[in-house]
Amino acid sequence: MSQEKVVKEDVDGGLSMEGRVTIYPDKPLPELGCAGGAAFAARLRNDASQDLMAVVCSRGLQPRLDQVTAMKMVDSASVIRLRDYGAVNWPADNANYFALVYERPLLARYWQSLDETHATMSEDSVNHTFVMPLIKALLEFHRTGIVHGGIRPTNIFWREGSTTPPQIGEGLSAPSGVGQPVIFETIERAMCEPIGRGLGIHLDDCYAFGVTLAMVVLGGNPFKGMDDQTIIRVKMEKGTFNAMIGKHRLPQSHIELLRGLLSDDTRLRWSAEDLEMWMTGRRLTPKSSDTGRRASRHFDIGGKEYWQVRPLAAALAQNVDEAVKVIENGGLEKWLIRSLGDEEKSKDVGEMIAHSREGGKSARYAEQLVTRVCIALDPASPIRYRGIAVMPAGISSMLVDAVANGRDVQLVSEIIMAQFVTAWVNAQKDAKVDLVPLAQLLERARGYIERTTFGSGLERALYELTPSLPCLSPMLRGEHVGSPRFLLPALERVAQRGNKPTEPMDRHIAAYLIAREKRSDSLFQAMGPTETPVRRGLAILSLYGELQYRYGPDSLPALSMWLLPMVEPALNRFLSKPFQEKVRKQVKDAVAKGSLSLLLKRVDDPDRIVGDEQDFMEARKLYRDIQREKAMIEQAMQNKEQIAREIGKPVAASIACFIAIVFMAVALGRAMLQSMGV
Amino acid sequence: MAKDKKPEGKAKKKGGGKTVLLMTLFGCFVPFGLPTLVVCLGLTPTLVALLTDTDERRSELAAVGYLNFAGVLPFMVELWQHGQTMEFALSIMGQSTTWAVMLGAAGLGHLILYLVPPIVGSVVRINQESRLRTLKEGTAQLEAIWGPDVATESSLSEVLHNRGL
Repeated sequence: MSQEKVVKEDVDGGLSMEGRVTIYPDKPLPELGCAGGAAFAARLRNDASQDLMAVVCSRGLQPRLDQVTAMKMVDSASVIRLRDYGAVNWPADNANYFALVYERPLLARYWQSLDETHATMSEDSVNHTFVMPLIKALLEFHRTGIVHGGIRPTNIFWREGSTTPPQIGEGLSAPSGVGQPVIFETIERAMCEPIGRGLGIHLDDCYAFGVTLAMVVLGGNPFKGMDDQTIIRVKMEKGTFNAMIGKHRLPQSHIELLRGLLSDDTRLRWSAEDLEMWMTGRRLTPKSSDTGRRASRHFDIGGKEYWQVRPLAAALAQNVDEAVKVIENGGLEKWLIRSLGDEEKSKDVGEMIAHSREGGKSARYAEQLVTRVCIALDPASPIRYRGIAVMPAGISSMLVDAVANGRDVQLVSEIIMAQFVTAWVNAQKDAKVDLVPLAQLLERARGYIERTTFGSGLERALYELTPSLPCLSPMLRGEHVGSPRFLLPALERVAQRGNKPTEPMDRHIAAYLIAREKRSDSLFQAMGPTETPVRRGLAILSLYGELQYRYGPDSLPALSMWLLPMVEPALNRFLSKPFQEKVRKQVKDAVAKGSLSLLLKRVDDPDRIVGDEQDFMEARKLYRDIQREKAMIEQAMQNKEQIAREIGKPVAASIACFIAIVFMAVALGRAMLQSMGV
Repeated sequence: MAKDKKPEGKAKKKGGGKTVLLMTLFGCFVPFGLPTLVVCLGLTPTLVALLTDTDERRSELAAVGYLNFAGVLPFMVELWQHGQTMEFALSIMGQSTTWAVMLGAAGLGHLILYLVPPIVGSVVRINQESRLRTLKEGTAQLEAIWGPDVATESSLSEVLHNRGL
């Protein structure tokens, strides 16, 4: 998958999605838009005959990339089929967006609005044309491990009386639960912020299907006109089944089915397998849960009377000051034992209070105490802290949303740091074993947040908690870096812009690469702000050089040029100026070629550095020898007479000696000749 | 105390050497007889140089002595050829040419001693200046290649630190 292909524009005015799909921005499909973004007409490059729709995720919500592969494997006539996905360059915004390409639904939306009323269908018609195809879809979701998170009448494409099966619409363009009205969410998930609901479980889809079915068989929305808080309260007080069906007269098979699907206790709720058994004629008997157990006496909070634990926990979270008083004076524990007769819950609350007191009275003691007590009172409900409610599995998406959209990161950070998730998991009596990995993940995230080194911190927690999250670095705004292999091409494009930052590295990119590439933290510590620019530059170059070697592209001239000012001071390590100039030329060649590994080799070759240092030490020794000789000569030149005496006189003596020898030889020769009579 | 005694002993030894040399020379000349000694009067400049030259290397003595001896030698040979008689010795010494040659040779030695050292000094100085220039060029070249750090004694890590590394 080549990232360069993202930016190419098709000849017919469409936009190319990684060379495989053409998306037509001039052909919007407003009727098919969804939570994550608008829909546009699209076609496959290799099969132009089929009309497709592309959901362009441009609304600042993170698409569920972790589920796209599984969704592509879903092969059911009752689910709109995901054909492809990838990044597309959107010229209007000059940004790259993630797009999901689906086959277009065969019919229009079954319900345009939740406030509509429809004529009721016969039991047989509902079962055969609506329920059974959707049970098959749920079975397919269960088989592939998908939690759709968007099953509702307004996201089902169907028409009563049609032979075409109903089709469940798109559900991956936004985090699970975002865009899903409260009515279709379980009580626990409904209490959360939409972004903090988490992925959820298969049984949550079954619940949403149950609510959808209830609305279909009732012909309308039983909660019509109610606000979200009222819906939640009614569901808590009566239970979902009773709140929705009430005194309506329904066929026995539907009552049985809805009782199973709308159970507020996940242990008792029907799954796709139960639905399959129901479909094949085996009848199950749904059990009622004791979630709505009433106390013998009420408990007053915020001027209201509470008879059940779950609404009481919600009220405590909303009235922190009053809650702290009743917790601290033991009133709550007494009520749990005396009025509710639940000693175990009282003990759990006592343990939570003791745990909070062990930590000492911090600035957020009151809020944290109430949060922990609420967890003990209502373990299935979300973590409620400082006015927000979030499921442990939704902390990651809430953190992503806070970082991506500039919301309060501190609040999410406090939730992680206060170890509420561990407390929450410990409070889950039956499902505790399955949730331990989640608690461990959040504990690791806490460790990352505590560390402030480069590559750790909140950013690291962000990417470790959300494995499919693309890099959210501010410098990559407008890019979609869904994998480390797309990082360098994206940085190359950023490098070509005028308003790029000074360094092609920040805490987000570092944390992203550590998390995705399973890199050692030590390499990234050298990129921290406390390090010298040269060390930072070399560390970045080393990392990006390796990424280029592994993923390409072969040439990154703009990125090389961006890195050059950072690594150029490293040339000062070459002590020989002529060699430095030679390396400088080689570096310019490497930059022109756009080869980061070659650039690194040029500026940080250990053999050449060691050789240069050895030459420097030899040159220094030679310099010292010369200086010594110079000093000796200069000193000698100070005393001319000494030179004359020490050198001139022996020379003169030698000359005189030579002349004397000549004279003597001549004298003796003459004498010898005379004696011989010559 | 031991240090004080040492130079005295050395001086004694030095004086002793001279005496031995003189006695050896004297002993050498004895076989030649008195006439030869008369001719050896021409070595007076050498004797003077022997007494006045304080230079350790005895360059003056050598220069004057060799040439002085070269000036005396022809007359000694002539004396030996003519029977080594006192009369002939006195006749040789009575000629002004004899004195001119013997003393002139010694004078040549002095002339050489006067002229050569300054010339040698100048040559040496020219050589030294040339060498100094070469060395300065060498240091300048090293500084040009390696920078001012080549002239310092700081450690390699300090050098790199100063360069912002």
